[in-house]
Amino acid sequence: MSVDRVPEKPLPEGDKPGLISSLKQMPTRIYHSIFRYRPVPQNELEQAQAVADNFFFHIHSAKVRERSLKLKTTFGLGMLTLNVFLILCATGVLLMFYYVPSPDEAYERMQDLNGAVFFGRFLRNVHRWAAEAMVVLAVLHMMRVFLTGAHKSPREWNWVLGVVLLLLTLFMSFTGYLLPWDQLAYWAVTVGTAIAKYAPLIGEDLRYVLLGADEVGGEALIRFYVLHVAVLPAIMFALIGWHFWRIRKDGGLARPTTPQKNEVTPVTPDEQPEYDRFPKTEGKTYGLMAVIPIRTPQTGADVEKQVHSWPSALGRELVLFVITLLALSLAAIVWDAPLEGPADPSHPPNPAKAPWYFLGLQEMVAYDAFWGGIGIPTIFVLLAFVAPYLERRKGGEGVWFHPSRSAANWTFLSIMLLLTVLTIIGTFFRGENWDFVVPW
Amino acid sequence: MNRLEHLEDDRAGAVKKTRRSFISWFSVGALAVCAGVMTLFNLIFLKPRVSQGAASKFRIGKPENYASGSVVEMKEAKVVVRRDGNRIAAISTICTHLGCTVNSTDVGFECPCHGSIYDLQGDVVAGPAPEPLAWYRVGLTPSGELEIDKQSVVDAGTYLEVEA
Amino acid sequence: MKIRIALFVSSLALTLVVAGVILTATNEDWREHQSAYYDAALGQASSDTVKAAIRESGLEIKQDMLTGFGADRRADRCRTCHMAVDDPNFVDGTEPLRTHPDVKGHSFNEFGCTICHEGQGRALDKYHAHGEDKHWPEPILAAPYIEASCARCHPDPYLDETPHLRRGRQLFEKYACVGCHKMQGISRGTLGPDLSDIGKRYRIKYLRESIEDPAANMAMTIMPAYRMPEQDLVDLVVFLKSRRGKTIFEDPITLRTKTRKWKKQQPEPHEVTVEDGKKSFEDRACVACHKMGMKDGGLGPDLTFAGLIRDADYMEAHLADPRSHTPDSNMPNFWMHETERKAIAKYLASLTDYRAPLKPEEQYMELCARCHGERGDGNGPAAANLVPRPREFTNAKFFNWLPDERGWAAIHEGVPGTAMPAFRQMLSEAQSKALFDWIREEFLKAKRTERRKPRKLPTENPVAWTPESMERGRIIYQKRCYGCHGRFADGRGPNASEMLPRPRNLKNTAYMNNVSDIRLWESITHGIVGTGMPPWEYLPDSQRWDLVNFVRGISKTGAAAKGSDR
Repeated sequence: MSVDRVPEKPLPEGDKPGLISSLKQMPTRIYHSIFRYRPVPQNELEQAQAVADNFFFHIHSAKVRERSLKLKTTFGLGMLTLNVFLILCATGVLLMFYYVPSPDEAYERMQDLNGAVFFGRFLRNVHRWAAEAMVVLAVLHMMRVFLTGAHKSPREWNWVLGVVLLLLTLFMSFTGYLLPWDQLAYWAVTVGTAIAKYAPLIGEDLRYVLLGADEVGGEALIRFYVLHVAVLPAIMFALIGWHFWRIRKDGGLARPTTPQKNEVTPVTPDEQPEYDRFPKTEGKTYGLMAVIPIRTPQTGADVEKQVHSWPSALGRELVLFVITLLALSLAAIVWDAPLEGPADPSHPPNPAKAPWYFLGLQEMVAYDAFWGGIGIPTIFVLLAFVAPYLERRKGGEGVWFHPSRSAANWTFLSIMLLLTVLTIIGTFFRGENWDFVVPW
Repeated sequence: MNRLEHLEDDRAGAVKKTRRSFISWFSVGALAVCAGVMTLFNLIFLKPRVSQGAASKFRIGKPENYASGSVVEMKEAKVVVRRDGNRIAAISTICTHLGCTVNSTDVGFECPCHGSIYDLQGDVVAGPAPEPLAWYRVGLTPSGELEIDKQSVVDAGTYLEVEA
Repeated sequence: MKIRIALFVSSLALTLVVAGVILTATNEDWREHQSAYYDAALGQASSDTVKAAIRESGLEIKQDMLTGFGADRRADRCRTCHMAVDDPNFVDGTEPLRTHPDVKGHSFNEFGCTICHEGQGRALDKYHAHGEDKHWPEPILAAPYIEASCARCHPDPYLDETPHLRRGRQLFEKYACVGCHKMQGISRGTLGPDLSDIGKRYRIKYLRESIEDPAANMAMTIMPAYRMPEQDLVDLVVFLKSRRGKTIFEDPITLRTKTRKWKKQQPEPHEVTVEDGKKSFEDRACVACHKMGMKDGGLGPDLTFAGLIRDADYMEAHLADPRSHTPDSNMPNFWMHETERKAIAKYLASLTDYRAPLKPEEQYMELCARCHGERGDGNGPAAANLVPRPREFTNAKFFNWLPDERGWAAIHEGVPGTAMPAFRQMLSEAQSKALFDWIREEFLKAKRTERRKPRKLPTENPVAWTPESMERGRIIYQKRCYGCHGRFADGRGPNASEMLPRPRNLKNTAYMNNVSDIRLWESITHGIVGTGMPPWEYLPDSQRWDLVNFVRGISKTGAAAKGSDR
């Protein structure tokens, strides 16, 4: 089918064409009613249109700075997190077809997924490993943002949204942890919610509302299920949308005020832009479609190199998505998602451990219940929320480990290191009775 | 830039362009295949391979448990097992009209919902039912037990011959 | 271009991984087993109709959905691989394609598979289905352990079909497990864990290990390691595995009636011989704890020369109730029949064929070290299980204060109410004295310091032994003494565990019988040097006598206390 690069002509006025020729045109008309342009853009106008006029792509601007696409700028961490989230949504919905949130059946359904349901084991594995990966990727993404100063003005609010998203990710993972209803899940959630009890005033109530009973049981399972499949994903979808919208509205990715030499379009005043790259059509202006590569008249500042989102940004995103899918599928066929014996409230394992990302917390609780479980975590979370507002002057945006921000960076890194070390100790170095053991 | 220069440029880039387009099309093809396989597998995933409730294939014990001429109605399985002499058959009790469960009577079956009446063979005698009642395949397992397979419908009047 | 190559490479890799996904998702073991079954069945098919039926059947997951038998709903998919269980043509087949032996009255449709064989019924790969995965609580039971499953419905373990289970039930008594462990309907030991639902909680491997090497699973265990023939071990484990609390069909009332039926037929009492006793002693595995000649369980006292230190009556009373003579004895009650008790007592009393060595150091090593320790620190192998604990000879303060007469007498006459026997049949009075002196020199490493001048002691109790006096004493006791001696005067007060020697159990009648009022008064007034007992001189004299009267009352020794006070 031949497709013109401009929209189909409107329905002809005057004489009606014959019925047969009308029907012949129907496929073309259907195509054009959905897609306005050729599948593969052939010139810059179409490249710009491909992005701006596409429902899914228009989160991007038509052109992006070349700098933003460099691997070392972001390592694609935000995008990877999004990819993993999308994969989680897809596999999660599929798993819901077989899952029953009841203590009698939940575990049986896990067993079914592992054998009796075709492809069930693979989907469950992908979902599990993606969930673990999302926690890791979100934290790495947060570290990237902080260490490149990308949370500084005007991106403070987006950082706050990011922190909320991180907490939601943890909560999401935690609620999902209970659903298999095996020993691992049951006791991890028992321990995890017990930590919440240490919160003053609201602790007991919080735990009671979360569990719907004094202990982890059927009530807790249905509550966790609703949170996991409906409430939290809905909130996360909305917040992720906001998060992405803010990236554009805050001026794209963070970058230094004065760009590097190699990031600037080399323009000499006498060289004229090649306007003929844009096809001349009557009644078209390209003002917002593309930035004309000359010094801007207002400031005389250099113009940073920009490339079209199609295909530069979208191509990279596709590669990232393929890599995500690849890694998760590989993990899913190599390692099975853990499934221990059915939950047995009368036989706790020793040691009963929370999910791994809460083991730093559990480790701290072992030292001091209130400070470890509530005090220090609350301080850290509050610090995370106000971090961008503690920055006192401009500078260092978009640059890794900028010297002017070394104090902030080192503080941040020490906190992350502390949490990592505690988590590693809690995960690998704690055995029976929470005694120190050496894992080898 | 005039037209001639354009042409020369094209010639130089021709090889590069073919390679480029091959790589692109190959990638797109590979991804399409992967997407296709994943979609297909996910669709198969949706079709359960085991039943969580009553199985469609179930055993009803040995033939000698059924006396000649007996009619045993199995309410849960929605099936009537009938033995005539040495022949055994299983007839569905699901009304072919709108799916109600019919009652077994001495002279056949009658549907309580819309008044359809069937004879002993399951053929429609009266009422809105469009088709006769289904007959299910009755088989013997290696251990000599009768097995009804509700997923395989056989012609009316198909009996399983058993030893007396 | 770079990004195109990246896309190319990653797509290629994804294609490979997707190929892997296809392989893993479609390569299911059960498909092979089913194909193999149909191939084999086609060869053995008797008629064309059967052949046609086989050709028509596709590969599918076979599932038995079962209700009842301990579960609301149970899905066993074992027949997906074990296709031939009900096909009589595969009697000689190899697993998984083999005919199930006919167990009359147990049909697969009704019972399923995992009710007897255990394993994970819903799983479809061998690793998980057979429960080889360490998380699955009930791995598949191989013969003869599968006999344990019969007891899930048949509580009577004496079925003809279950010889191992039946033997295991007998061995449970033979090896004296009943002494320490509680087992619903069989025994009520309290020293070890309750085993009534042991089979539900542990796997075969764990049960075996716990018998062979108890310390492997519990570092602090006091259970002795039993060395028994492999056959006994297997049978005992079968029996233990069969204990799952209660059987599927039983309500508490039927359980109780069954229990009564289980009770062993008790033999009539009759004359017993030393030989009977010896056999019982060996069958009951007494040496699992005690020492007898070269055999040594390492936990209880040495019985090699039992006849020289205890008489038959003492032994029999001790077996009937180990707390009859020593109220804090750790020895379990084995609920033996009177005949057996008599036999063992007779056998033990006959063990008089022993000559004590002549040198005090050799005497100490043979007679004393088992309890008091080779270094005299009161930490011999048996010490941990003796209450009161053996004296530490290294306690210089105590032994400098202790009158020599009491030391000699303890060896010669024993200390009633404790594990210390009288050695008078083995050692002459002079030998006892020599032994005590040797102990002093060896362990105190010091000459006897001069005793302070003798205390001025009253000659008789001036306060009459009346309920009023005892009540006054009780009030003072609850104020001053309970912290160490305990609210119930059993020597187990809140502070007791921090004290060595431990506070005395004041209810130990046998012991208190030998303590005169005067000695009690002295201990209260002046305290006991080298122990936690402080002097209570500042209490009014009458109150101290009230305390003495209270102790008399609580130890049930009354005014009739012998008070020989050696």
